[in-house]
Order: sequence, then structure tokens, then C-alpha cells
Amino acid sequence: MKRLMWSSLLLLFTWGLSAQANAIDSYFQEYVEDEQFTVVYISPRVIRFVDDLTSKDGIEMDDEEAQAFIDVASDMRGLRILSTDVNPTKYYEEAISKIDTKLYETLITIRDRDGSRTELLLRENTDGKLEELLFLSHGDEEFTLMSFVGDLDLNKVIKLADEMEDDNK
Amino acid sequence: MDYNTIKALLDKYFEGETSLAKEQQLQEYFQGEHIAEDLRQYQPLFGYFQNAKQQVTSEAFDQRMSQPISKPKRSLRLVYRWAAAAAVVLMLGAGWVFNQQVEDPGPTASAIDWSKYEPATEEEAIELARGAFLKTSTAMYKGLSTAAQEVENVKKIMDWE
Amino acid sequence: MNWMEFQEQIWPIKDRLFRLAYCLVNDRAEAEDVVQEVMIKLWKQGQGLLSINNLEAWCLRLTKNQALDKLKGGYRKRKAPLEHMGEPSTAANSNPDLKAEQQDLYDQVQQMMQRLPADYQSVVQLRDIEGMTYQEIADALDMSLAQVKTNLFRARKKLREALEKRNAYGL
Repeated sequence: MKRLMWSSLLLLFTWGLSAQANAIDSYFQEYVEDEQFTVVYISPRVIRFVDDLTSKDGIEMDDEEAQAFIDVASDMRGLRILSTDVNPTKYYEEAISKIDTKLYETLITIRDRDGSRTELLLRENTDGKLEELLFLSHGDEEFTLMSFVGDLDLNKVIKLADEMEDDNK
Repeated sequence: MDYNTIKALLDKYFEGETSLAKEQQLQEYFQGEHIAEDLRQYQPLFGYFQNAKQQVTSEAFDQRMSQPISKPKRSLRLVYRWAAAAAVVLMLGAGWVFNQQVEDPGPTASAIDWSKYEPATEEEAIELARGAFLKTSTAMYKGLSTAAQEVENVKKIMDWE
Repeated sequence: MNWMEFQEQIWPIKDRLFRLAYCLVNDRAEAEDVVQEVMIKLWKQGQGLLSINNLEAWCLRLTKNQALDKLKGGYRKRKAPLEHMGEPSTAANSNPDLKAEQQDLYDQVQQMMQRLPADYQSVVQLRDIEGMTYQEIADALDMSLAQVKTNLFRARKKLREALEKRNAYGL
């Protein structure tokens, strides 16, 4: 009996965790299970390793970039990526139509001449804090869906872009 | 302007209590030829101000700046790396019957075990995260700058790439 | 925002930005560098520029910060100006001897300015050279009105002392 109680408590606990919603869990479960999709999950735990890793070979990041990266990433509570090279346009349109526009607000829409499109959407919680940033894009080759969960600071994202850009000049 | 007025004005000036109009009067006084002997020591200050006012950027600079500053091209290197890395992280889950119905399963319906989609190494994870941020920030840049179409048009017109 | 629009916004204020940078870094080429960096930053901001209420104040602030960054980042400020500021425009212009003498005096003032802290310099620059109001200066330098006035008062006091000392000792 005691054991049953513990396991139900545990269940409640994990249920609570998964209630930390992200668009992929909400709308795109079938993509995750679709073999045509590449799925990646990056936990916030990884960020702790940035410091150690940048000193090693293999990752080229200067201190400033590493710092900007940590700044952004430390606000992140999870990053999920889905992508496929099969029917990118179809999946993109389907994905856009699945997203509840009452919950997600469009930040940026980019339509390129070659027909590729990119959309950035935001979901805020009731306090107006950013809960999730959703990135969708498709070109001829690929459909990508990324969900950043967490209270990301968009200015920090821009700062990081600056740093990366400086390196690639 | 008589000596007493100008002397009083100058004192107020050094006390930081003059209006812009009064400061202008001082400037004019010190530009003139008839500066009272004991006030002459302050002339270089106003002369300096007058001189400094006229400093402008060099012609070479103006020429350089009237050319469009090409937005530094962001290398796609990371994005490609991202794509390559993503490709090796193979999906482990089994097939699932495709459900076309647009039903909101709700966040609580989650049954995805995300841990199995984590990259094998931390390096890979960080590279992936970096690529993801890069893509996102690139989109933000693009979106904030202007509609992509417009950029293309401007580039074309100005023949700048 | 396209390049033309950008130019329209920036061109009218670039010299003012340059003068502020020049007063802080005391070198023409370095000052132009600062302005260029500021312009590139602005251009990258793109559409965001249009939503900035007070573009000039914003640019001046960026310029000051950029100039201070430059000074922090190893660029050694020259104690004496390498080049003269340019033609002094006073009634004495016609007489070459007087002109050289005058130029020398201005160089001395420029050095006095260089010895002031950056906040004093910036305030004098914007008030006495650019003729801006206290409120405009406060906005541009991110200071309170009281700070602007205090800095200006102290800066002028120092300049006055330096001028009187120079006069008294013929320095």
C-alpha cells in the first residue's frame, strides 16, 4: 500500500514536469515518432559543460562568445529540434496550421524569394514572461522545427549572434 | 557690451548658471577684437570651443561611409555543421500511425521520453545548441532588418553583395 | 529600413558624433573609427532604428560608450594632440604670427580638456561646443539633470583654474 502511494506520488511528480508544455509535446508528438524526422533534445544540463569544453579542441569559441552563449543558454530549460528532408513544404504548412494562435504569437515571418519561409513564434505565460520560443522554417531541402523552452532574453540572443558573427568575419 | 556686464556674465558662466543664449553672447564677445585686458586669459577657451565646433569628419571618411556598409555575411559553416550533426542523431523511436487529425492533445498528453533524443556527447549537444541559436538569431536579424524581399531589391538596385 | 533611409537618419548627426568621439579619444582617425563602429551597429539594428524615439541622444550615448571602450581596450590616448584641430576662425586670422600663437593656445586648452574625466569632457563638449540643452545632454549621456549641471560646473571650474594658472605662471 505504501509502495502504491509512493508510485502515485512519483507519477504526479512526473506529470507535473511534463506539464511544462512545449509545442512539440502539444502538437507534434507524431513527428517525433515519425522515422522520417530527426529528433534532438538538449537539456539545460549541457550548458554547464560549455566552460570545460571551450578550452578543448573541437569547439571554436572565444571567451566572449562562450559567455554570450552561456547567457542565453542559462535561461533555457530545454531545446527540442525536429527536422526532416521529406516533404518540407507540406510539413511546414501542416505545422503552422496546428499551432494554436491563441497561445502563440508571431514574432517574425520571413518569406524569401526562393520560396523558403521562416517563422518565429512566442508563447508567454500569464505574467507576460516568455515561456517558449518556436522556430519553424522550410526550404526546398528541409523542414525544421525548434522549440526553446524557458524565459529567453531576445536581446541576449542578438548579442550571441553578434559574437558568432565577429568570429566568422 | 560693457566690461561689467561681461565680467558678471563670465562669472555666472563659470558657476554653471548661464543660459545657452548668454553663452552665445560670451562666445561672440571673445571672438571680437576688443577684449578687456584682464579677460584675455579666458579667450583661448572660447576660441577653442569655436574651433572645435567646426570639426567634421574627413572627406575620405564621408566617401567610405556613403557606400553601403555591407552587412557582414554570416558564415553558414555552423548551420551546415548543425545539419550534419543532426543527421547522425538517428531517431530511435518506432513508427507510429500517422494521425492527421488536428486535435490539441494538450500538454499533459505528453508521453515522449525526451532523454533518448539527447546527443551522445556534450560537445555535440553544444554544437547543436549553438547552431540552433544561430539559426534563430539569423532569423531575428533578418526579420528585424526588413522583409527579406526588400533587402533583395535594395541589394539589386545598389549592386551590392 | 534600406540604405537610403539609414543615411537620411544618420548623415545629419555624424559630425556631432565625430566631435564627441574626438574629444574623448583625442585622435581624428580613432574618432572616425568610433563613428564607423557606431554606424555599423546602427545599421545592424535595422528596422529597430525607426522605433527609437530620440535617435540622436541614443547615438551620442553609443558613441561615448564606444569611445570609452576603445580607451579601455588598450588604445592609449595621446596626451598632446598630434594634429591641430584646423583653422581657427577668429578675427586674428589674417595675421600669420598671431594665428600660430592662437593655435598654440587652443592646443593648450585641448590638453586641459584631455586632463578632465570623461564625464566632464562629454558634458562640456555637448554644452559649450554643441550648444545642447541640459535635458538633451542628460538624455544623451544617461545622467540626471543634476549630474549634468554638477559635471558642467566642476569641469568649467577646472578649466578656469587651469587658464588662470597658465596666465599667472605664463605656462
